[in-house]
Amino acid sequence: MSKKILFLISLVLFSRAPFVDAISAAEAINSTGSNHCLFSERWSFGKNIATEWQDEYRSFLRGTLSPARAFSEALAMRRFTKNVESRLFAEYWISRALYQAGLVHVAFSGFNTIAEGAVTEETQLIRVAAIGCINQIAEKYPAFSLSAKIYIKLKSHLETKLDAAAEKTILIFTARYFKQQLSNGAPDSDLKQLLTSLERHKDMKNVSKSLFLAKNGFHKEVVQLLEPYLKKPASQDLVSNLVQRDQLRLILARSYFVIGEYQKAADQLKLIRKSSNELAKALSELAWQYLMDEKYQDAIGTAMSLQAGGMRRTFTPEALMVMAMSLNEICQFPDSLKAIASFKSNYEKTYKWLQSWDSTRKNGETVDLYRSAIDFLKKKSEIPEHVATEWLRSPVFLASQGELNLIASEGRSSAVLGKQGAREQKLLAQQIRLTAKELKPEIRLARAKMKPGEALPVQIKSQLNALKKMLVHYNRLKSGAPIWRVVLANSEKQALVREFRLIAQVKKDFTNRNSKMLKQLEEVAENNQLIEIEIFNGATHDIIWQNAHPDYKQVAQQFETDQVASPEKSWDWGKTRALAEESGEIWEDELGSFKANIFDNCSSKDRYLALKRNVSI
Amino acid sequence: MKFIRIIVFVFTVLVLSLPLHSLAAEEVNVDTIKEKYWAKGEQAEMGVVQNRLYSKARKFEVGFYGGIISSDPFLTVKNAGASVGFHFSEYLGLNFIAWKSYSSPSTALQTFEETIGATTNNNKPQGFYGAEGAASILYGKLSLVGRKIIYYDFHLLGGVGQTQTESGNYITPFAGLGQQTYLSSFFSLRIDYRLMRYEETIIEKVITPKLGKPVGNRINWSNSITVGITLLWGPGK
Repeated sequence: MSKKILFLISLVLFSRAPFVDAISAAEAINSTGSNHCLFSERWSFGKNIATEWQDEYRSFLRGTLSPARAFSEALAMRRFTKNVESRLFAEYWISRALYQAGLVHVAFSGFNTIAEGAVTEETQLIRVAAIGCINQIAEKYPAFSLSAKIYIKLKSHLETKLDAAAEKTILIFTARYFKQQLSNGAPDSDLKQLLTSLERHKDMKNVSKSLFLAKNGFHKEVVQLLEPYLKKPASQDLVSNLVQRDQLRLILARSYFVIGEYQKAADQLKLIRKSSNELAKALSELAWQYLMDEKYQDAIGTAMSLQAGGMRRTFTPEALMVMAMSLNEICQFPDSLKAIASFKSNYEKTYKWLQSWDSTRKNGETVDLYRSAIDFLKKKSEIPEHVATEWLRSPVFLASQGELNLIASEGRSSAVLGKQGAREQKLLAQQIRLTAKELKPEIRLARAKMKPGEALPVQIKSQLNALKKMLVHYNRLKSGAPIWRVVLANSEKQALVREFRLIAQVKKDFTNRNSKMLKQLEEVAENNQLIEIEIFNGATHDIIWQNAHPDYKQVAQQFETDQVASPEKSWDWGKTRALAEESGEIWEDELGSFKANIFDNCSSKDRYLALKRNVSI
Repeated sequence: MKFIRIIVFVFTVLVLSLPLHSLAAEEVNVDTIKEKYWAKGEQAEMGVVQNRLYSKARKFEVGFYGGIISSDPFLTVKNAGASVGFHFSEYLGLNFIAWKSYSSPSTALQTFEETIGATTNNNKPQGFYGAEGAASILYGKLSLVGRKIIYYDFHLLGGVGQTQTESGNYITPFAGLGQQTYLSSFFSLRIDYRLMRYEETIIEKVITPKLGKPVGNRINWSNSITVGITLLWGPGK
């Protein structure tokens, strides 16, 4: 830069900072914002924030100010302003600029620092804004850990008079924090304390409480709380953003099951969306409900849904066991045996893999389960589908992988942002040089025409002011650059630690899931053996009985054709199709609860005997 | 001292690089498994139909067909042709089509000629070739008189080509719709309707002194209906 331009820069710098806080604290009305960290974010500024800063922030929200520029402007605001509200808003702006730049982790730390601070009248709404941004980040990336220090401060927020939007922000944070603490296994006393903080929102409190009660086995109370909530029409309320209705239905159905309300449990399970990740578990449990309710045809039909299309890939070994039990109950012994055989052939590979993994683990060797899951998604792995899909549906994997993706994207952003900042600084310098060059002859000419004591023409004055502003911005950008670079470098360094934590979390979750799957398969296999023994006992009696009644088969077939078509949905899958490999086209509405069109062989015997008695009379 | 510093530096570098190798975090799209995880994020199974029985995605399609073109009321036009195309997904495809047109006087022209004792000018189409995009927006099962389930695909067409006529070749944009009924994974019956527009020059055929000379231009709106069979094959499922 030329000496003249440097002179101009120094002129501006040594003059009074242009955006000073001229307003005394007594006149101030506090700034308040809405839709924090969203495209629709809006602020109504109080008098403590100078108009120039307000304009700069608004242009940042409009997208006319790049994150690097916004960052440097916010740093300058932090340096030049004296009042508490302005300084805190500058800190919020710094984090907001980092968030906009895609450096979510650094921004999250910034918002946390703001939100953890002491609540005063001047600072409260900016701290609430930071909590709003934390809520946004936590909604997108549930693996982010929420700070207990913020929760401690929430009391102070709630003790003051808050508007509805601010109160909503606080409540959402509390509910999210409660959910995180619940899954982290926090002590009951802490959770109960958290629940009292949710008193202000009935639904949020009831739903959160029901999660707590379900975990502790208070099923009647869960029903009392969740039943009325789920009866209400689904809407985008505060609660549905925190816990999916499908998950709540599953919890409610389990509670109904425990208290013996099988029909109500089945009704809830049927309402789970066909695209929900809870569907496979729901269908497996629905088959159980029907079995317990002695609705054997329904149990068979529902279990069949899990053998169709993509659902065959899900880990639901109990479905085939329920099918075998139901078929045994209606004296369809050969089909019951086929269901058991089907379980053996479908889950053999899964069982062997899990066994081998278990023995490897017990020998002290490690298998990189995270890598295996990624390879499976990339179709490079031989892991059995039942195991891999059970991993993929894990909320821990989904949340952690979401954050790992974010870390990768932050790495890319860092490289781009560094260059962007430098380019912007260069462009601004060029612009200043050009404007100064153009302005110089104009000033000279004007001065020549000026009479003594006369001021410069307004047009030139305004051009000079614009140049001054450009110089101010250039200087801010220049002084912000080293800090910007440090932030980017730190973000990259921290990425490794975060990755390590997240992958360890996923591996731990997969290990737990594997152990559970292995245990479940062993239990199902044991139960199937018991069913087989029972079938062979029953079948022996059946063969003897049928030999004693040679015309039974013919009469039973007649009963079957006489059956009146059921008004319920009936899936005529036939005997062989039930157990064959189902590879056909499956439509979403074909999944779910169906009634198998298979006759009750036991009742046919009763009807046969009744018929014979009538004939002999 | 310098040696110790170098050792410390090398050790630090090794320690810092260790987690990089053991971690190996990778970026994968998890949005596709937040619902229907059993579809493993495969786009073909994310929709309401899983394991489509009659799949077109990433397949080539060759078709042979014939049909009629309603163009000039004084002409009866029949056509026969072929097409070759590729389906980028279940929903989008690109076809190249070509047909030869067989034109003859219509009964209207014959009656006119018999009654008046004179004839009229016309411009016989001779053929067409062009390219079209196809958007398959409907796929479903239909009951055929309650006896059989048939698989049905409905598509919208849009493209541009060139119509060859007696008086010259004309650029012809067109739009249409059609349907496909699958006979097997490889064969289907296809019916298409296309509304085609071109501006043609009419050559004098009646008045002797002007014979062979252009007598004016007109916009021709042709309605083409084609029926045929198609053959699907390729790397898709």
